[in-house]
Amino acid sequence: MVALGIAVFGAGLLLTRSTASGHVKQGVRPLVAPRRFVRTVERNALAPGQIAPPQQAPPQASTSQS
Amino acid sequence: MSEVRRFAAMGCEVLVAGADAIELAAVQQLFHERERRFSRFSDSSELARVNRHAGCAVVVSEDFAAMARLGLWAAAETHGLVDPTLGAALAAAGYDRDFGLLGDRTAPAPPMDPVPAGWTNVSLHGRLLSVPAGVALDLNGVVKSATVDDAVALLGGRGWISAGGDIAARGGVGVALPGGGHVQLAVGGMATSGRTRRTWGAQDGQGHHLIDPATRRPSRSAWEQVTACGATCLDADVSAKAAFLLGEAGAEWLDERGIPGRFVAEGGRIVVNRAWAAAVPEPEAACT
Repeated sequence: MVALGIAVFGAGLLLTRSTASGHVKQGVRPLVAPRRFVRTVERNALAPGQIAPPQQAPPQASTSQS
Repeated sequence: MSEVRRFAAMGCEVLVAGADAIELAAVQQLFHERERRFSRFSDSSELARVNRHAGCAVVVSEDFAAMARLGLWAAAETHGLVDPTLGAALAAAGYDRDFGLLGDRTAPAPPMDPVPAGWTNVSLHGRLLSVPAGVALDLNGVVKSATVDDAVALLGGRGWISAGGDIAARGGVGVALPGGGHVQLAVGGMATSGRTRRTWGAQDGQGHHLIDPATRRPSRSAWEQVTACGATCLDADVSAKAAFLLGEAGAEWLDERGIPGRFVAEGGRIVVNRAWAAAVPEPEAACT
């Protein structure tokens, strides 16, 4: 009887772990946005260009409001 | 680099450097096509057709859908500061015809009652565009700078394109700045927004084309002109407009995004944000 009880308990435990929500069924992964999503967001955000001290004078172009 | 070619489009002078004859023709065609498609002042433009059908869903061209998508993106990125649905407010403020025809006319007072932000109610699914009734799109906040970016992509080698001061370069270019001085644009684009040009008389003061979405009137920004450097000309233009509309908070807003910004206040006082100062130490020296 004891052995049967242990066997039933073990089987129930394994069944619960494999099916019931709240039990880990696979390796834990960090909760982050998918890499593809992150790349898309980063690419779509306003991004800076690069400026440097003037290299030559006079400048070729000019920026002004239009 | 080859000589600089010039032509007129979108109400400004377009300068093209580094293009051969075929590339120049392609650039001109692109600007003129976009001008026809997105003009607020031509009844035959696609923009006018869309605005006439506000309240209904319409199928638009691929090009129009792409620009509308950019306009909505700009609004989202700036939390509604650069709003593509302020066409009616701009017209009410007096900018209701081609700028060359405005003259010294005194505009009627802009509407007093704020209208809820329209851009969040615009829906775009593929080429199916729906604009709320009573809302008029104005995509000029993104069309010119996006066209500069697209035009630079047509160049086969090093070169740059400037449309009324909105610049994109391939290979770097020296750029003269508002209020004096110059800087090297190494990568990306540069644009300036402000209220010293495209102005007209208005009953409540000087009218200009940068509408504050909170008041739906021309902005009373602390700045006369704001210059920003972005990964693209579009990034730079949207950033400059947002920083202008934010007033004193504009410099920090740009710094939060790592975008170099340069501000010209009334009287010519020049302020640069931390990103600009880090890239161009001693900005005053660069201005000599």
